[in-house]
Amino acid sequence: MKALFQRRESATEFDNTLSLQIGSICCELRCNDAEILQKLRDLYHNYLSDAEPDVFVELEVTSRMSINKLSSVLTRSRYMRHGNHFRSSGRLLNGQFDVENRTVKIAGEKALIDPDNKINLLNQLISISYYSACKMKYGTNPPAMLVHACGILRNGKIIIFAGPSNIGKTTIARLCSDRHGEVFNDEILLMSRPGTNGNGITIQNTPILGDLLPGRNTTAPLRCIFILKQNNRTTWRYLDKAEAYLRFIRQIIGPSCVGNYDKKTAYSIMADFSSEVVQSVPVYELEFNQDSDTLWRVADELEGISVAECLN
Amino acid sequence: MKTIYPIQKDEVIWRRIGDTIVVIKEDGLSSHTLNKTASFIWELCDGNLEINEIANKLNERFEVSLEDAQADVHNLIEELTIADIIKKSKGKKDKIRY
Repeated sequence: MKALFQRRESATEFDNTLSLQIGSICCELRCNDAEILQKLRDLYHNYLSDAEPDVFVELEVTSRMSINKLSSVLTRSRYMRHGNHFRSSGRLLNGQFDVENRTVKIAGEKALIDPDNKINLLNQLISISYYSACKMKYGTNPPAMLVHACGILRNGKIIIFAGPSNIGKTTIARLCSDRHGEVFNDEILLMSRPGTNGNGITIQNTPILGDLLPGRNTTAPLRCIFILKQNNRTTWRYLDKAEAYLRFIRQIIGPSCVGNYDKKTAYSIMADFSSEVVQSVPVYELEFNQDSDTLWRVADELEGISVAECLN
Repeated sequence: MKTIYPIQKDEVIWRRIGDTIVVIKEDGLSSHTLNKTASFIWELCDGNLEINEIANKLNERFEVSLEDAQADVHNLIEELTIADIIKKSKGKKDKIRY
């Protein structure tokens, strides 16, 4: 692929890079579109970094299609991968991985990258960049994984509400007023492994876009995990470790990355992570009827139970 | 009667969680949770032990008669084979050529 990007030191017209901190990973994003880059800087202002990049993402923005045309093509689009190259049908997106140079090159339609557009691929881009850098830096043992969850910081610890899209994560975030706690993210959080020196699991906020804008870039210890289930009442039950393991593994974002893992390796990484997590913190199923008072009463109730009591 | 050496399929991922073993197929779509006895048997399905040898070990480890142990192992191997997470090999793993 032709060199489309200038490094920061030789840029003359505009600084075409921004560095994004995602947990312990720094991702340098280079983009040929000044408008998009400025939007990304504004959007991710809490996550900008001066650290040495672990991975470079070169983004070439193309503008061949109107948003209406794009929407219709997207529904029929398929993603294909051949070796280190990938592309979508309809020429919406193509790119290549360069493991040796820690680089992902992506050429894509502007609307797919524009944060103002509902249909954008920014979250996938962040997820791929994070796991790619993790693979290069840590092999098959990432220190933290991305999890589909909304986090609420209460009394110095985080409670996370995990589940797939449309299960109620954003509703919980919206039901959280200042007196209930602080919302970390309503879509995806970064969860560490339990520390080997007795430190517990920590949760770090991410620059991932849910329905709400990403909050401040901060970390807090994990109190417990709720796996969400929609119902017409709000009630909870403790999950035994085997059930917790099976339910939690499905909330982990798979480590899709540069020089992808085979399926079994990817699942093994998730299995190890899920196994470590459920043996360190209590996991509950929360049936949730979207009633604010009951929700926070349940959270108060659980805060009265010690972690040791739950795990034994 | 043919000698059978049960062996865990390559495509499965399993982890011991407390007293149980949880087996997931690599597509992530199906899973199996094995109780304490089934977990003991599962761990012996490495392609090097024949069904009767596994039953002997079950008989030694748990308070179960050899007859019952043989029936339990046989039934479980059948179930796990149908679930497509165990395969039955006619020879020891060490002797199989890949």
